[in-house]
Amino acid sequence: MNVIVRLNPVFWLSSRSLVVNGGRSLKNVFAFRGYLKYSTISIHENENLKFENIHPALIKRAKQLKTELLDLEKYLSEGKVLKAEESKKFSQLSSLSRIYDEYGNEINNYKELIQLVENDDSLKDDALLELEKSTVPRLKYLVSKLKTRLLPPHEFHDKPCILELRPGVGGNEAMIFTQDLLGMYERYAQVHKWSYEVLSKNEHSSGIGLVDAVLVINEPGSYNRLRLESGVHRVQRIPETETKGRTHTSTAAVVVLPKMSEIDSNSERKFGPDDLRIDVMRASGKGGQHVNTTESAVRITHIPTGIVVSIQDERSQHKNKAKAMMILRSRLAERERLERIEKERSDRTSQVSSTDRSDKIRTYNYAQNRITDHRCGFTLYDIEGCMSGEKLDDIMDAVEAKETEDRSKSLIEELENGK
Amino acid sequence: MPRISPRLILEAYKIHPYLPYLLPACKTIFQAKLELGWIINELPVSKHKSAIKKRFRLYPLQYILGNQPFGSNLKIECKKGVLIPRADTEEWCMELCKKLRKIKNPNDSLKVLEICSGSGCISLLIGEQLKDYLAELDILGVDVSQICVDLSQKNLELNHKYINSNKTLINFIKGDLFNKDLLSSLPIQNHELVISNPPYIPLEEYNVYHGGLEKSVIKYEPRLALVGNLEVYKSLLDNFVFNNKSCKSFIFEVGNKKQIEFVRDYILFKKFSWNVGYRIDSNGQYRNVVGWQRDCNYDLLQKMCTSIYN
Repeated sequence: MNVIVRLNPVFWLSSRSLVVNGGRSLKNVFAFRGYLKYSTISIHENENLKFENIHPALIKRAKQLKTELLDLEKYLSEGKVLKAEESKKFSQLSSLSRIYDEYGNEINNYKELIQLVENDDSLKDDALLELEKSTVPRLKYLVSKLKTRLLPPHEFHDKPCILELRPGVGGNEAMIFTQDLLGMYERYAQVHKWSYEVLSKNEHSSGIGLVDAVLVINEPGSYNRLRLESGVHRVQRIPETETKGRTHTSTAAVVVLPKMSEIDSNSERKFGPDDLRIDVMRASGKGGQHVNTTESAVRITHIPTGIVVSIQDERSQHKNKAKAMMILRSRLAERERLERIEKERSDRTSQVSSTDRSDKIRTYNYAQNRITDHRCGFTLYDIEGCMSGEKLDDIMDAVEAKETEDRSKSLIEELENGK
Repeated sequence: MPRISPRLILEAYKIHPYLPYLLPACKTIFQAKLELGWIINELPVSKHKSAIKKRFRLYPLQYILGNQPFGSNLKIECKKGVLIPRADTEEWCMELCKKLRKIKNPNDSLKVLEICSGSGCISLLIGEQLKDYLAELDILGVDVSQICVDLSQKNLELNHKYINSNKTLINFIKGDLFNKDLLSSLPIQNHELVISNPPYIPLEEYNVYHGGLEKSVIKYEPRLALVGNLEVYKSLLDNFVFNNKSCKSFIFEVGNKKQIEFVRDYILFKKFSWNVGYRIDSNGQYRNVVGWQRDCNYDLLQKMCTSIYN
């Protein structure tokens, strides 16, 4: 029996090829039968039939949310009108419950099939095929989807975003890398057909590399996609400026901020008269008709937090001011969010690992044509594809999956502690 | 003008061969780089060299590029013979528009008369800011120069998409502010608000050495739009404020405190029911004189003022 179990994957492979070929050779049929004889063991051993079931605490949570949905539905059937927030919640809950129902059906399906495999000899092979080909992959998909839906959505998940790029250690090479990163995100936006704008860009006086840059992506929800790009990006390569062919290591920092719209800020944030100091390039002397200056740089200091934003790219002082205010608002929003998270975290007893603030998140190694994300350990061997924005999604998916996993773990912990 | 050191020129040359030519106008490498960036971005390659040469002779950048942004959306075309819109003017115009939104209810109508409209920037900005707020907005700009009237008409068309509204009407007409009978010949008579950025540089200040005037302004911008003093304010008040009963307020740009005091004294002498205040801009200069009839909504204009005379 042991021998057969060890051979299992081979048999399984051959039975797969059967399906593709459409006919069964005698040898394969025997192999197949041989496998099925001891299949009670192999159900639990077979990798293809395994899937990570959802945690009972999460299922409980899903049920709870479903009853909330029923309450809302009752409310609706009484002819009452939902408020904007409630209707948002309603649509979220109903899509969640749809997935949950589907998951329930699929789980029942799975249980029936397993029973068939265990008890009914005549239908065993068909049931196994069905399990492997459709039920299990479908379940895997539904479980991951359910997990993401059960997590509370990110506070700014529907916002457009602002990316701030700054060179770190490594002198000129770091500035050149900053420029490369800006290009990467610009092309990423192009690939996704998102509208974007380089809000501000300061080139180094030598004309190569960037001292800082701000990129705005106007697509709603782009913040949610890009927020995990925040952190220190490290590059290992032979710089253009290097004459002796040595490999250097340099870094650039990326900060992703939610872009707050004017309407939000009116309701959420009002600056006191003493909160802001706005420094504008002034015409010297009498001003007015006496001078015609082209100086339009604006610097805004938010005094309570000490955040300074300066913008000089536009010819109009007014526009520079508007841009600087936009960046300031976004920075404040992000800062407050991080403070809230920090507070929640210190309130909690258990330490939760998070991808939010870890530094050195990713390494771009040009010599090995490799990009490694240190948070999830994912490695992509295609520097060019990544820098052209086309393969960046692969890395981002991996990071996102890791984040979802971490968050659902902490949610489970929370739910269990709450019991 | 301070001398530009050879070292600065060399440093600029290393960054870009055109950059040293911008130093006389810009004075710092930082500003010169910005200007070079704008020239390269906005003009075709064939015009770069001539633009740099013009700027070297302090020719205003706005004339070279052909426009100046004003407010959040407008782009005002600029050409020789018309005063270039200033950031100081933009500042008080935006403030005024905010106040007008408080003074007026959405169902109200508003008629505004602008004297010395020049490029038309003030009228256009008010039109843009208030176009959908008021039930009816009627703005008339008057300027003595035909070049200005033509250019402001053109600016109206160029910025059509920002101003376009069936509730808003903006027009520009040729007319002389010193003409006593001008008001009766205008298509708009019962205006409530008079705005003006008149020529306010006294003749004795119209030179570089003790007037504080920029060389580029004196060399290339129209004298007609710059030189004027108390007689201008007297005519503005006589011809457009006092001889019209519907007029409830005015706001003028000024160049010094004397002009504010003149307006105050003239009002006190002629009309008792008016209040006068002045506004100091964010640069710390006397910039506006504001007047309004007591006991009407335009009292709110006092919030624009740094100080009010009683």
